[in-house]
Amino acid sequence: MDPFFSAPSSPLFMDRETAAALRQILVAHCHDADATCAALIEESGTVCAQAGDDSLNDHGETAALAAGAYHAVRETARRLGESAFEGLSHEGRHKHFHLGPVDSRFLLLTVFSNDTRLALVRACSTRSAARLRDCLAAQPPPPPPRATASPLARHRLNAEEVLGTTDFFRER
Amino acid sequence: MAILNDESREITFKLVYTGTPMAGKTSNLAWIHQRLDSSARSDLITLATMSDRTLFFDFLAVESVLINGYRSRFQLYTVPGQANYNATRQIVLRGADGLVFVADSDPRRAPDNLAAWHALHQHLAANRTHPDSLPIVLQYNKRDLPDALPRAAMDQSFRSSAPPLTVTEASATSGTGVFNTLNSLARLVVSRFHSLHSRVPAAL
Repeated sequence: MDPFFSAPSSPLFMDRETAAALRQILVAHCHDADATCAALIEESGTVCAQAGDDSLNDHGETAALAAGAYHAVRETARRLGESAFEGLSHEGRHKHFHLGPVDSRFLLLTVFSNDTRLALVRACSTRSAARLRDCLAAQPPPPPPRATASPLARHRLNAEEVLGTTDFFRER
Repeated sequence: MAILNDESREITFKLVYTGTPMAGKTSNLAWIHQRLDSSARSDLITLATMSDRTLFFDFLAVESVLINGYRSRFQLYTVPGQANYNATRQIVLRGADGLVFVADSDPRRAPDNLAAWHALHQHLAANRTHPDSLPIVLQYNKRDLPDALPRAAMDQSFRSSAPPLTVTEASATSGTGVFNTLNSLARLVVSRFHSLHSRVPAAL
């Protein structure tokens, strides 16, 4: 395979200990930043950990929109000639949020009210992002690939053979 | 890419519907949204222009079978088809676990199919993803058109693809073939994940 092509990210295996540790960091972040809720969001829009109120307890719509907004604004900045991007914030009338980078794959979303200030949220986000990075980096390595991994070409041709007749989705 | 969470016992995959402009990507998601029980899906989020053209993406999260005790979730995205949304399309394609390429069976759209196919490969290259490393289902949509290109002619257009792709036929506005396409891709994605990573899902 051409060395230029290497997957930008690999599957993420998050064990119970890591999930609990991430949540603890977010609980502390909410406390320090006086935030109503916070979430660690993967670039594809999946909530990996969260703390605080139930603002993000939907089916993933809010996180997907947040990840999309973040990447769109970052790309806009890049095209305008600005390579540094520290995140984005929205200040509403009652609810506000800040989206900041954790690393190249993860974002930290912080939702807060009029009782706290954006500057505090930003400062706390920078500190919490470092803790989240450390926690993710300390996670045990993912399981090794199977020695007998089948070439993808075969999957494309023989999916039914591989998985029988399983229908993942059925129409009403 | 897939995320497996031991605590919530969930495994999440990202599937992206891409393809020819106006070929029916959003129609696929709209049908899935309409035909799945509301307890098993999210709202359909559509970021569209005033003329209902996809501006950034559509999003629908759907839940499926338990796989060895893990609840499987699939995040379905569409990308805007028009060429001037290349940048946003590339963003949404990042991290995808599998793709549906929706092609238009209208004979007048054949050049657009190929242009979109080549553009997809450019986007994947820019994202450092090799097309052969990604499960792709090729959906020939609008098969209900009276002058739809014959299947063999559509196959011929994409014949250079190697390895051969899984192909489905559909009429997304009436729902024909929509779930077959989704199930085909879900099988490919889970099958690939299963073959590459020994922890999950042994039941398959």
